Amino acid sequence: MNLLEVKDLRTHFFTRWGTVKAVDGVTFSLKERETLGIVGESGCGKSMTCLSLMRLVPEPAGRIVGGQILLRGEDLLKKTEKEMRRIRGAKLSMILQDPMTSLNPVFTIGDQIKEAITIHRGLKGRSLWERAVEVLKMVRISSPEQRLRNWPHQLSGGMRQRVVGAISLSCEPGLLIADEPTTSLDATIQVQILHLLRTLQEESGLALIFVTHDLGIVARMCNRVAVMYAGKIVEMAEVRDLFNHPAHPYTQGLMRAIPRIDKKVGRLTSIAGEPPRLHQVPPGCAFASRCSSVRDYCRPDQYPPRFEVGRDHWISCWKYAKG
Amino acid sequence: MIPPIKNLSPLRSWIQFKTGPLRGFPIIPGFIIFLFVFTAFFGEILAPYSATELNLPDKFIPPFFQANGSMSHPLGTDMLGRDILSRIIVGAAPSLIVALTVVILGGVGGSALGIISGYYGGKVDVVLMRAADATLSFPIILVAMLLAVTLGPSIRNVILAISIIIWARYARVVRGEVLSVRERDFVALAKVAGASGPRIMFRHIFPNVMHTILVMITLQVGFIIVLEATLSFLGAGIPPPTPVWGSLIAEGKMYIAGEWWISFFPGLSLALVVLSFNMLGDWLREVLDPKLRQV
Repeated sequence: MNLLEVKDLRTHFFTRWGTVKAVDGVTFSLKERETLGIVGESGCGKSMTCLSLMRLVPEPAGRIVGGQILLRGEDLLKKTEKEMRRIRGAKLSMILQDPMTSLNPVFTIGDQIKEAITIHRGLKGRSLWERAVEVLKMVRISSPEQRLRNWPHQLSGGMRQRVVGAISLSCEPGLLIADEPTTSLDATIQVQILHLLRTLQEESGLALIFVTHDLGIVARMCNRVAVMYAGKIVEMAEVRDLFNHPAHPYTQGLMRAIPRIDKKVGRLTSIAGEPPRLHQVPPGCAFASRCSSVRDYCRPDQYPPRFEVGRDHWISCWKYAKG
Repeated sequence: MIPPIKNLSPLRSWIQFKTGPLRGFPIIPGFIIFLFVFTAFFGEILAPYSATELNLPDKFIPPFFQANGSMSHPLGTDMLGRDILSRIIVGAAPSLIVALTVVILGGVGGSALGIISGYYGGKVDVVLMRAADATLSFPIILVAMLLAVTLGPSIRNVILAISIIIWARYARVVRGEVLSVRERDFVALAKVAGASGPRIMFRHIFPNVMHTILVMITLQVGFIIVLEATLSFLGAGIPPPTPVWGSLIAEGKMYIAGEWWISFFPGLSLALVVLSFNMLGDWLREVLDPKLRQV
């Protein structure tokens, strides 16, 4: 059985300008210990997919309107809020983008790490403290006993992200969602955090969903990649496959936009135009208006179905339907 | 790191701490507040004369610095020969009791409703905030008088009346703060960790809006004391013979042209105490507001 099975997930926002389909029919699965990368440009629905998995879509404007999220076979969308609280942090957890604001400025690091442990494990006193020290050691923070007494403002960005990681992992969830965990950190710290995530994954058999817009990170970190565009997954493949044979015109465009250090290339190509506004996505392929290989067979009235283009590699594009 | 606190008032620059956590603390207002609280607690013991006993032969003695005045009645006596100083000292207690209880009932209750309203939003927010709007749209004195008249004047009813009115101000301000705090990432992280709504409100949001509540409380203490005095002045407050500052001022109003001291000294005490609380509130706001603290 797969660890996570997401089927036709739809999260819509109901605004006065119309319905914004932030997540519109997302389907994917994740095995134990696997790392799935979700890439796409800003506003394509990456973060909303993550929040939907946690059942933390900002209500009442947003709502999960359909689909299934099966975590070890249990449908999270059928859980009550109370049941969800027991699952969050304990079975699946999340790291947020900005470590500078993820910690509460009025509590010490120790208090904040202990909180999640208290909620899920009900530990007290000495054993609670020991567990907190253990968790800080796990994220490779030196002299954890002293650090527990520190306040957030006394730590650097990289240290704070480690602490946030420690909080998220304190109750040993099987699945960690990392929503651009290194975007706001500088390059050397990024590498350290990524390395740490890899190590943790090997040690504890964690599965990761890694959201980013940095294809370089995807290449280092992930087993499989889902490329999102306008609320939908347009291509999904093994990471090697995706980099060697990108099939969807959008993915090909992304690949051409990566700067390379080993080859001399001229100007980087960019994808012309901008993504459609999510409250007026055309019924056909959302990328058609920017696509360089759009042809007559691209039907404007119907979204392209999935086509297998290789082993475990599928895309949604009319180009592959014509044959 | 922390920028120096500017001098907002001449009283403050007179004498003050230059460094340490009490930097910029308004010492003179602080002393006045201390004196006020101290007399409120030990009024009956401190007062040189009985505050309520009549002594007609000694009526209308002027304060000590005027002709015919004497140090035995430093602030003079009223139309029934009661010592003004003693009445002011004894009258401090009801003012403090009213102020403290209202702050606890109205302030704490209002803040709690504000946090709930801001955190949950939606229908809860609409209902609570419209209720606050309705409360705030009434003229405060009129409502307090109405309540005092229907329920009968007593210290309990004064407290009740002012609390019913004052909660909305706290709810309003606190809700606004919560709206910004609840969007911060640490609240999201707490949700991700599985924290419940009440837990997030109490443990994560409340400490982050506490400075606002604290400043509001200090600033409102002055207002509450004035409101209680106003009600007592109008006869809808704490009934005689309890000496309260508002009714002391009211009693002297007929003699204000000649025997001005009967109204003047209670009024002066009231003004000083209220001013002191406001200055303390200003200082607290400067010290506690993270926006002023961040560099």
